[in-house]
This record gives sequence, C-alpha cells and structure tokens, in this order.
Amino acid sequence: MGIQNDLKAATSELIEYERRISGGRASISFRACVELFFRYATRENDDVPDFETLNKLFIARGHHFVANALKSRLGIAELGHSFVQDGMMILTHGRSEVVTGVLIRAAQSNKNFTVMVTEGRPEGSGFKAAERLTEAGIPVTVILDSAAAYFMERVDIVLLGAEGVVESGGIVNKIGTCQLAMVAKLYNKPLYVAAESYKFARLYPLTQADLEDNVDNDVEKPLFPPLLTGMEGGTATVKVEEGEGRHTQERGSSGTLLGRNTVFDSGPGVAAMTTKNPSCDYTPAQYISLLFTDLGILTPAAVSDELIKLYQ
Amino acid sequence: MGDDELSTSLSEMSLTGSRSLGGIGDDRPGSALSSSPASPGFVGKGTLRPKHKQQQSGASPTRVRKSSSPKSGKGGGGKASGGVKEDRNRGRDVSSGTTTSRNTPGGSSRCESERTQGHFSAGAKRQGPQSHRGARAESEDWGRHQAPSKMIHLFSHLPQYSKRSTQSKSDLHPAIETLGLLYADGSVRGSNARTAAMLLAFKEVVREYQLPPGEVLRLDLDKALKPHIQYLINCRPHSIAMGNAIKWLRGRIHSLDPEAGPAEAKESIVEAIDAYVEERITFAAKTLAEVTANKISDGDVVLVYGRSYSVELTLLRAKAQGKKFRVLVVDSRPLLEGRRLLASLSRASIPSTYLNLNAVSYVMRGVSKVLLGVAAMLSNGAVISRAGTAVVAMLARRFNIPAIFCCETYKFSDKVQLDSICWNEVGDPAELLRPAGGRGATRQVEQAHSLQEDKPGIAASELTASLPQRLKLLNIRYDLTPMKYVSLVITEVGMIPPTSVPVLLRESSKDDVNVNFEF
Amino acid sequence: MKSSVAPSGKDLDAWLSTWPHVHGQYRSLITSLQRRKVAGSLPCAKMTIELLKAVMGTCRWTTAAELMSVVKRVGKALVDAQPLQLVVGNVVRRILFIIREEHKTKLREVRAREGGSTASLSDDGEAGNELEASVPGLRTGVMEAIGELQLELDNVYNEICELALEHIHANEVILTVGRSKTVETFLREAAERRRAFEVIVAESAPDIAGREMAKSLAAAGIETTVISDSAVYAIMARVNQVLLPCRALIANGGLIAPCGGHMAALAAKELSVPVVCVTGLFKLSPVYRHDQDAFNDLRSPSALIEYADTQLLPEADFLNPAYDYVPPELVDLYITNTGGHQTFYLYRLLGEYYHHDDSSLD
Repeated sequence: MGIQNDLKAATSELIEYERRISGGRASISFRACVELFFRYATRENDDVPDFETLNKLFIARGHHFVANALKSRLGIAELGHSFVQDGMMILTHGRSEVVTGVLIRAAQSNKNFTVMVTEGRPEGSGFKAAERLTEAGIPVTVILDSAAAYFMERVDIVLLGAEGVVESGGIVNKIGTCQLAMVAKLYNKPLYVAAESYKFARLYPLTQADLEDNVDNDVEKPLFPPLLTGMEGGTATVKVEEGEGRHTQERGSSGTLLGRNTVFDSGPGVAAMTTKNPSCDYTPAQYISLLFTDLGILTPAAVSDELIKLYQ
Repeated sequence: MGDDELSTSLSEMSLTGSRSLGGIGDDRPGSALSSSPASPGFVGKGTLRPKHKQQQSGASPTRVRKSSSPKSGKGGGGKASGGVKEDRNRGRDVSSGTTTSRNTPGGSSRCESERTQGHFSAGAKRQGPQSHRGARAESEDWGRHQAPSKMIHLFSHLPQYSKRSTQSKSDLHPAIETLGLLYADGSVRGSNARTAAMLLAFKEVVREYQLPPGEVLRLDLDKALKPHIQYLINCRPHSIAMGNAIKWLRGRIHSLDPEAGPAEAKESIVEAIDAYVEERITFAAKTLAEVTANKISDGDVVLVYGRSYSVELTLLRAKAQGKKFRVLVVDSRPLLEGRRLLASLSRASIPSTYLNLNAVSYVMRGVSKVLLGVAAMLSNGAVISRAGTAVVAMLARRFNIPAIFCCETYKFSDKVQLDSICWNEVGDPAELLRPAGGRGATRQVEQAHSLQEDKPGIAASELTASLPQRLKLLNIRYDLTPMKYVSLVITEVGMIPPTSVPVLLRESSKDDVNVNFEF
Repeated sequence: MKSSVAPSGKDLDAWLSTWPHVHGQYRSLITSLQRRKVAGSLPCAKMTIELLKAVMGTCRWTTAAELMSVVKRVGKALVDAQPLQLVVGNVVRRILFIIREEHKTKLREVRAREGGSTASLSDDGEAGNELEASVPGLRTGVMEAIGELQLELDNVYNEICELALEHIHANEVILTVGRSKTVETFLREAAERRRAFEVIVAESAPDIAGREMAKSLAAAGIETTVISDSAVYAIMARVNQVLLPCRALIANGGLIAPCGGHMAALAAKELSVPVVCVTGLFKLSPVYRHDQDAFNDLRSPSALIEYADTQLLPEADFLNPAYDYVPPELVDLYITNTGGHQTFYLYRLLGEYYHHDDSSLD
C-alpha cells in the first residue's frame, strides 16, 4: 500500500538521522521502536470502508502508540517496585531511565534500600544516574565496572535497563551488562530487566559476533583512558569508593589517573595502540530472571510469545 | 597432665545425657543410666571404677551390636549379609543391582578402602563375635533382634542395629564395660569424647594388666586388649577416628622395647596414651578453636550444625576474644544434639537462633560463614560427619558461603569414599519414632502421627516390630560431604584446602609406626 | 470499574446480608479461612467456588462489568482473610477470566449477527468499555462455565493419576518430602496398577508430617522407608526421582513447597536426580514475587522446643518457617491435571487461565 511504502521510507530516513545525531550508532531500541510503530499503525484492516477512515485510524493509532510509550514507564515502575524490599542492596549498570523510574517509585513507597551503580565507562553514565537517584533521596554508591564481582556478594538483586530485548529472551544493553549478568548468576542473585515493549526487536543473536552483524556496535570508535571529573587549582580530585568510607585520591596535574608523569592525550603524537570499543553486548536469556515490561512481568521464555503477538 | 584435668576436659567434651539441663534432653526409654544420680555429663575422675558395675548387671536390656552375617572371610564391605539373602528371595530386591556388584571378590572400588590394613572394617566386625566369643555366643539369647524384613537393602552390607540382652563378661575390665554401656545408650557421643574415653579406659586396662609368666608383653598385652576392643565395637561400632586411635595404640604396643621390664613397658604405654589424648585430642581441639576463632569477625552470622566439640570451643573462644557475632544453631531429629550447644551458647551470652535443618534454606542468605565438625576426614578430601552436614554444606555452596570444617589431625584417614552408603552406621530405628522435638503438638496429634498400628504406650524396644508390614525406618548416623562443598579445613597444624588432606596425612604418618594390622 | 454493584469493606457484609443463606456461607468461609480451619488447598478452592457461584446466582447484575465487580469485592474479602492461601485468589481470578471470555464470545456473536465490523474489538484501549455492554445469555454462559470449573476441580486427582504409570517405572526408588494428598494419590494409583517401586519419605520436621504419609503409603501396600531429613543428601545417590508436593506454583515456574523441599530439590539437582512436582493447576498463581519470604509463614516455635525449656535460654530465639521457595531451575517437570509441563511453559498456562488486568483485585 502506498501509505506503507511512504512510511517505510520515512522510517529508514529517521534511522539514518538518528545514527547521525547520536554519533554514528543506530541504537537498537530506536530501530525496534520505529519498526513497531510502523507495524502497529499500519495493520491491515479489510473492512474499513474508505481511505479517509483508514487515515484517521492510522493517526489515532499513532497517537495511541506515543501515549502508551510514555505511560509504559510508569506501568513498569508499578510492576517492578514490589521486587525491591527493605534493606536490599540493588546493583545497576550505567544509566537507564526506566530503572531510575522503578527505584524512585520504590523509594516513594517508603522502602529503605541502597543502590550501587557501575560508572558505565566510557561515557560515565553511571555518575549521571547516581545524581538523579541522590536527588530522589536514595543512597547511592558508584563503583568501577570492574568492581562488580567484588561487590556482588553484598548485593541482593541486580536491576538493569535494556536497549533492546531480543527473541531469545535475552537483552542487548550497554557494554558490560553480560559480564555483570554472569557474575550475578554465579552468585545466585536474581537479575531483573526493566524495558518498555517497544524495545522488543526481531533479532536472534547467537553470539556476540552475531550481534555485531545485526547491530551497528560501533566497535572501532576510539577508547580513551578515563579522565578526571573535576580540577581544582592544579590538583585533580577523583572520588573513589573504597572499603568502608569515601576517600579522595589526589593525582598530579598531568590530568590522568595513571600517574604523575604519564600523559595520554588524544592529540597527534600519541603512541599508536589498537583499541576496540563496542557499545553494547548481548546477554543471553539464561542469566535473566524476569523482565518488567508494560505488557506485564515476563519470564524470558515468554518474550518470544509476546514478540510474535506484537509483530503480527 | 593428670587424670583430673583429663577427666574434666572429658566431661566438657561429653554430650547428651539427660542430666545437665532439666527438660532439654531426650528421654530415652530404657536408658540404662537414666536413674543414676546426677553427674555432670560424662563420668568424672574416679568413676571408671567398679561401683558402676552394680548398675550394669541390673541394667535393662542394653543395645549391643549384632553382626548380621555369618562368618565371612576378608570380604570387607564386599559380601552381602545373610539377611540380604532372604530378601533376595523376595520378588523385589530394589538395590540388588548395587549389592551384586559388591559381591564380586574384587569388590566395588568404592568399598575397597574398607579392607585396608589396620582398620576395623565391616568384615572384621563380622568375624569378631564368632572368633572371640566362641561357644558362648551361640548359646546367648539373640532374641528380639531386628527382623530381616525390616532391614534396608541399601545398607544391608553394614551391621544392622539390634538389641540384645547383655551378659556380664567377667573377663572384661569394668571400665570397659561401663564405657560400652555409655556408648550403647548414647550418653557419650562425638568423636572426641568417644576416642578420649576409650583411650582412658584402655589406660586403666593397661595399668591393671598383669603379664602372665612365660609370655611376651608386647604380644600378650595386645591379645588382652582385643576382647575389650571387640566389646566396645559390639556396643556401638567405632568411628573412623577411634579406629585410628586403636591402630595407633596397637602399633605403640607392638613397638615396645623388648628389653624393657613389664612395669616400665606399661608405664610407657600409659604415658603414651596420656600424651596422645592430651596432644592430639584436647590440645589439638583448643588450638584449632583458637585458629578458627580468629576467622570469625565482628558482625558475622555463623551457622553451625548439631554439636561439635571443636566448633563449640571455637564459638566460646571467639566470644572470649570479645567479638560480636550471632550464631544460628541448626538441629535435626532424631538426635537433637543442637539443643545442648544452644544451652552452652546461651550460658556464654552469645546471641543465637535455633532452627530445624529444613529451615536452613530460609536463613542461608543472611549467613556469613558455616562452621561444621568432622567425624573423619578422608583422603579424597571428603568429610564424614553427622548426618545432615552434607545438606548444610551443600546449601552453603549454593549461596556462595564458605563452609569451614574443624578437624583434629587424628581424625584424618587414608580411606577414600564417594558416597554415604559404602560406610555408615545404622542407628536404632526406634529413635525416629520418638515424639517430635517440642511437645508443642498435643497428645492427640502425636497419636495421629504415630506410626504404630493403634498401640499407644508401647515400649521402645517393641516399637519397630509393631509397625505396619511394609513400613521401615532408616536411621543413619553419618553422611559424606564431597570435597566440592568444603571451603577450608582447619586443623591444629594449620589451615588447608581439602585437596591437601592426603599431604597432611602423609606428613603425620611418617612418625607413626606403619604396621599392618588385621583384626 | 465505573459501575460497582457491590460495596467494599465492611459494607460488603451488610450488603450480602440481604441474602441470608449466601451471607451465612460467606461468613463461615471467611471465618474458616481466618482460623486456617480448611484442611488442604483443594477443599479451599471448592468452597470458594461454591460461595462465588452462590453470590453470582443470587445478586442482581446486568453487565459483565457489574458481575466482575461483585466477584472482585467478595474475592478480595476472601483473599484478605487468608492471604497466604493463594488458591483462593487463583479461583477468584479464574472466575473473572471466565466472565471475560464468556462476555467476549457472546459479544462477538451479537456483533456478528448485527453484521457490524469487528475492527474495534482488537484495540486494547477500548476493551475496558466493552464490558459495560449488556449481552444476552451471559448469565447462563457464565454459570455453565463455572460448573465446568467445578467439574475440573473434582477431577483433578483423576487427571493427575492418569500419568502415574507413565512416570514411575519398575523397581524405582522415589523420594518424597512431607505429606501431600496429591503425591500420595499419585503413588497409590501406580501401586494399584501393580507397579513395583519403593518410596522413601523424609519425615519433614518439625511437624513430621512425613510419618502420616508413610503410614498411608505402607497401608496401600507400597514399600516405604521413613528417613530423617538429615539423611536426604546421603540417600539421594540411590534415588531415581524426587516427587515434590507443592503449596503454590509461582508464575516464573518456581514453586512454594513445604519446608525442606528446597533442600531435597537442590540435593537432587546436585546428584542429577530428576525432580518432579505433582500438582493441580488450580495452584498456579499469577504472582511473580519469588524469594524465601514471599508467601511464607513463620509458625510457632513450640514445635521446635518446649516453652519451658526456653526459660534457661535467654539469649536464644527460634525460627520455624513453614514453606520454602524452590526456584524453577531445580524442577524438571510438572505433572498436572492437564498433563506434563516444563517450567518454561507455565507462563503460557497463566495466559489461559487468568487475565493480566485481574492481578490486582482492588
């Protein structure tokens, strides 16, 4: 149908646009969302009498989709917050709006719990998430991505967002998620994923390499050593959580955590080093306990079912 | 180390007995010594004396082990007992597959260890009564033994539990006879207590032993000890640790200087026994407790199971060091040993929680470490301990919690075993019929739960006979915890991973006399 | 719901008293639930259906929405009387689902007859309003369906037992924990059909319910051995399968078993022994919370130790949880009245019995 073709063209252009503005990576959730919108809005209906009605129907559905998408976060928060109990320690990775929503909702129901966030290198999104949670009055601790195994024994549940939920019931999410999930599995800690249903994608990655074939993971983007978050009078300070208390580490004014005399910068003359920096990874379904979605609470096995329904 | 201190430490070690704490304690029907005047725990100094003899002769039927098979050769665990033959005739012999494999002369590899030298293997036990008692054995009243139909196929290779009336054996030292009774009715329980008591009783035997003219001391003393050893085994099968001690003692006797006079030789044996008990049991347990207590930190939640002497010492020691921790005492039927531990911890003002074994899944999440005792440490890194230990260790593993086993080196054995069935001890099935833990259940509920066919108030000894025909009871004393559940073994010589057990065994056995003993 | 025929809370009682017979039934069920007098999940389920059927038959309603509101209100009161008895909530939600389905069918018929388009039916956003529409024949339809549900409950054991011979082979050694009518019926069925096998029952302290089970099994001619819970791991190496009873099935495929069930299931997993849970699907609950504290009950510690003895133990406290949560990865198979299912499939069954909007009965 004409409309469908037009919409398809619009979709691909939108995806291209998104890729350009988000620095070269087409996020899987964006693609899934657009795809789903397309399907939802343009469902075939034989018994619609004329084009006018059909048009109106499509537009109505479009509005409905958008409204639902915005509402879905609230729905997920309602479902997910009951899994957060008093006295729990929750671990999350990087920054996810949905997860923040769940945690804030839990805090609103007067539960006392603490959150641990991994910093989420390379962009350090964990710090932003920590800010948001602190504003909401939730005690947060930021840890290194590599410290997840260290702290895992103290954690009660792991709560993650997802960029995409795939057919197998697994998720595609920020790099580091798979590692975290494996450690959680080893320590028998439940792992919950909070994701809106428009993130369900019709992908079935078998391995991480398989994922790269389907999703532009932007592996070749540069990888830089960590930078300081603040500088004061020539002495850089980085706050790092270690042991029982916080303490400040002071480093030299050279501007890196690597030592006083070592300088790394991104300019010309830097020693040539091969780096690989994928943006996301695939976490298989076996590590996931439950998914909180606006379609309800799903076991990973149920995701495939829902996907079939959604894409019909 | 004088007798005084030894006896006191023994009384510390001793377990159960319904005397120390009113109410907490199980009433054992027909217990021979339940009417004895209150004496704390095990006998103190000077009670290993004839005055107990009068109790014993008038005693109600005590439980003595009866071996279930006719004389078998060096079959070790390999031969099926006579009882099983009966069962094989019945249509369904569920475990026939497994028992047949054990019948082959080569024996299942798993049970090979029972034929190793010096151990009182199951085969040795079977030989015992016949060879030792001679004609008297046949004429004794074997009545009221466990009916063959009530035997569990799976454990038919092990001596079955049975009750028989005791005979006063005039050629046995009264200390041994007393001890035998204490073993049989469960008043002395636990590897440390039993081994120490046994060695001290042997000490008395040696002291009062008179060398007949024309005999060689080494050989004759050994011969004199044999019936005593056998009697104790008949009262209750020895633990592997006790077997180690016996082997050591006989080795020590064997290596006596032939030039020494009888008094001198006896004195050296007596001293050696004192040293063994002192160093390898008492002192070892104390050192062990010190080391383990250092592993407990403030804010810990420590889960323990049953009642292990070294674990108890550890907790008391940690408390004495001023640490703040909480103990979860896990207990299980039928022995309910945890209660005495609970009492002891409460006296020391250690905050504790008491729960049943079934509830461990519920609490394990909040536990920081698990401390368990050991009956025997096997060469393949597995632990033989009170039945239920394997369950606790498994749950600890599931929740990634370290399971620490406290084991004195004298309990190390060169046996290897893979499951809990090859070697075990079958206890009195009637213990399972005792009333449930607390008397929270009303009498009516107890009646409803009774397994007997409408015969309330029946004597314990007849309980099993009155069960419905197809119903059997299995009461095993030990189980085997595989190496994968053992995080750490603490001994008096240091902390080792379970993989290093054979190494330690090798090191310590270099000093022992390596003698081949068959019993 | 916009139109609510029944009031909630204390007013509900007053409202129901207009029908004395029903009211009497309602009060007696509430009291029995509160005092935990109802023995067993199946009788509980049956009584709940009886009551709701009586309520539905007696009170006046015209639309599905009204009927559902009545059922929800009464159901909520029942669930609140005994929140740990999940079967009550399950039955209520089943009935709500039945009402929805019947309504949808009847509405479709009506629309088909009128020749209208069915386009708007598939839009989720409008479904809620649909229930307000009055359809003829709804009452009879719903009552019939309820009757079928009752029949299903009556036949739960029969259906389960049909699989008995398939799952028990000759000379098998089966381990079970505590007491369960379902497991007992299952085993007795196999024994009656002349299958020769052995059963080992863990006595399940502190209430030693296993003894009762062992007694009835032995009476049925099955070779039974009673062991203490501490021997579960020791004996597991020689067990061919573990049959677990279940108090409730959780939506993620796990189950709530009597205390000691988790231990047995874990030991079985470690030793590669299959774990089978025998249960009726009326125990399948659309609840997702799964941890040791969800739906658990801490019972009186007097079963553990006499109160008098505790006087000498000032520093001690006592814990006696009633249930265990067994996670889905420890269970190999569910044998139910609709056949055998694996844990991954249970979420699917949920969709066939319950509607996602009915999760909360408020």
